[in-house]
Amino acid sequence: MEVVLRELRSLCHSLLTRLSHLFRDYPPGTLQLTGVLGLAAVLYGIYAVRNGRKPPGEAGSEDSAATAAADASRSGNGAGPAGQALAGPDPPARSWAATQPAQAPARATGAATSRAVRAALAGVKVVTLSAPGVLLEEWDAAALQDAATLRPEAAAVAREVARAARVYVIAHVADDVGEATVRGACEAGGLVGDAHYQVPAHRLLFCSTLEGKVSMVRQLEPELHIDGDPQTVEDLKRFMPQLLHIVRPGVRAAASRFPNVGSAASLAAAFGAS
Amino acid sequence: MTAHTRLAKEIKEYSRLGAASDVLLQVDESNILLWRAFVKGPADTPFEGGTFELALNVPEHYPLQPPSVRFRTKVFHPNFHFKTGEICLDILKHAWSPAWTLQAVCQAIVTLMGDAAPDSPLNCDAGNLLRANDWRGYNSLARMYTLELAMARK
Amino acid sequence: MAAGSPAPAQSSHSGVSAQRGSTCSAEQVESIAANVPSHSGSCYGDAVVDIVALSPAVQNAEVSSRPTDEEIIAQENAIRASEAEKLGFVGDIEPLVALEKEYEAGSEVFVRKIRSLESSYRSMRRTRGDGNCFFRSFIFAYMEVLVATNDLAERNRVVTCLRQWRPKLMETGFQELVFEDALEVLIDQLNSLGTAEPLTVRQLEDNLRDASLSPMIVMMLRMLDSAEIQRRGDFFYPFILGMSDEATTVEQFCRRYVEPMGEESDHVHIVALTDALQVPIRVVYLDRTAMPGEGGSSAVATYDFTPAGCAGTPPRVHLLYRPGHYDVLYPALPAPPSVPAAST
Repeated sequence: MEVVLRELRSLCHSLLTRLSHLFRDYPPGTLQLTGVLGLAAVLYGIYAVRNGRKPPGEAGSEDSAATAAADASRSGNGAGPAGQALAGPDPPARSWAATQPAQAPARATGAATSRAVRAALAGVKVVTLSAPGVLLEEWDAAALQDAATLRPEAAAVAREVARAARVYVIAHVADDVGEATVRGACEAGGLVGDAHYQVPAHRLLFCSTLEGKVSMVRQLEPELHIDGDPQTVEDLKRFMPQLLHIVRPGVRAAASRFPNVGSAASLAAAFGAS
Repeated sequence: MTAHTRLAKEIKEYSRLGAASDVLLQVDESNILLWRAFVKGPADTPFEGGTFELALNVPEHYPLQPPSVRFRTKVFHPNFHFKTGEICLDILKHAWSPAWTLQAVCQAIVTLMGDAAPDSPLNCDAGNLLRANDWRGYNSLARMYTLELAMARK
Repeated sequence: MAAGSPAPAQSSHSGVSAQRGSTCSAEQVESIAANVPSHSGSCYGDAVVDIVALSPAVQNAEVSSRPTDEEIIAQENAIRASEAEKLGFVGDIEPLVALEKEYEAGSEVFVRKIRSLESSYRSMRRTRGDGNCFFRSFIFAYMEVLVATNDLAERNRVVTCLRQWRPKLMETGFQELVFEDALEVLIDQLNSLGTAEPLTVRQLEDNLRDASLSPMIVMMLRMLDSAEIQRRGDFFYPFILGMSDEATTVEQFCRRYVEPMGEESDHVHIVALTDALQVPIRVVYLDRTAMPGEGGSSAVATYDFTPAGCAGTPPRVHLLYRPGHYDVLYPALPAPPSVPAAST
């Protein structure tokens, strides 16, 4: 930050010098006014950047997040009961439960999140997410009839995942109203859209039954599926290379004896992005 | 009538009629037994807007034997195998009759796209979605694949 | 499945029968699904499937040993092809006693029935049991009689009838290109009668034994049959209703049980074809039904199919029906009068 401020100051100085040359022929008051306005503009810019229009990198949290993620990948296999070795990358999901205590979700930070997510993904290229509970605060279709609230930190993680892998989002809803509600929240929250860091609109999928959701995931053949519903996790445990159960408070982690299944309190916690 | 004679007639008839609105047929220049077809996804289905390519291999004893037809474009549908493109349609097997032509076969396939039969499916996931009566899920996924695989990229 | 057609347990052609009445059986589907690798690999990245990989040899190699529909059809075709060595589409004329020999070791009821037949019929001609035997027997027998009698009036009538069928077939939805060649061949052969080079029985045999021509003609007769049933759907519907387990329309029935080659013929098929061509025929039923008064009368059941326009006309064609199979029968010539007719 110090460095940035210093840079900015020297930039202002050189700007002012140039401006002063420009305004040589103008009445002295003009220069002063322009200068003041210019400086004000620059200072405003610094203020805006600092307060997170674009999430700035916080030097402090950056290192700890990266270390935590690295620890997570390394201790992958040791965490649970010995299961058969799986083809594919170490399952960081397993260790997510063991090493990442549930934390109050902090604001997602740019470069740190990106690095953490990539590390956690460990090369996974196709990911499916069930929206309720994972990306949304509402945990089931009934709740989604009234409102759909996108969790900002989860959306940030999902966007990072979408940069590194192909992402499909599936939402189990009761009817067209539920579908519209969820779609609206995802679009408004910047999760779904045309930008390269967003999930494309056609990959936001809907279903009206839980069995249907299971079939959809099986058709999509992701390397990692993330779900907030324990029954879905049970239904998929034999078919997915990796499963991550985002556990609703008061609910037990599903299929915990399966080596390919892990659990976490939130998406952000799972990906070490908080 | 040999396969060649019959196919020559079909080619003539097809050119005379002009392309039917939903089927475009092409014969291989060097082999009259190899055909490609391009069919449009039927309206009011999740396949609408997509163009799907079919490969047709005509056997020597055509029309006494059915052509072997497969999708070259991936389609999500209970009666089509997602990866191999195999099509489960009775007229392509035991219900074949020489009254069918290649164009009619393609039209029957287009009809099947809008008329899925979820029992004994070639795509179990699609079949299960329909058996669970989850049309929202089926349409959603089929539409996604149509967009990604059967439409020209932007 | 048409309930009228008996299970082909006795006929020689059954061999392996393809799955009827379903699209892909569950076993076949499982075997296919189990053997396709489930990893996504490069599949999503490449939307177009390479045609070489889909060649039947490669595709079948990937699938398990459970036969696919295509394999079953190929097997059936192979069985049919091998049967061609033994019995062509149409056999030679043989004395009816030959039939007796066939059943010597078996049912006495049969033997007695055959014996009783011999008073009315002297010879028979076998046709191949490939599910097309009714159509083939019918057309062979009909044309053979025309050739033998040189009945030009009947020839003219049937040619006109066939020509009238062209627009009717098209109205029913058959494309001209699928039937026009077969129709022309038949009409040409009929028209050759009474000319300097009329069709001979020998040529008729060659034609109906020809690997291309014979199926072509059968194919066309099936279309006629289908068109007749569809055009008189109201009349035929009750028969159809009684024959199949699943709800079926007249059109569906025709597409499934009349048009495809190899589909066995039932009462409906015979009524429709004889009506379509206005040709009366007699079918002699040789089956295991014990006649009333077991051991007594061994009369054989016969049934005359007489189109409405032919009332009073004696049958032109005689067919022998054994479960699942039709052959041609030749009526015995009437015995010469014992007293010479007085000359005037």
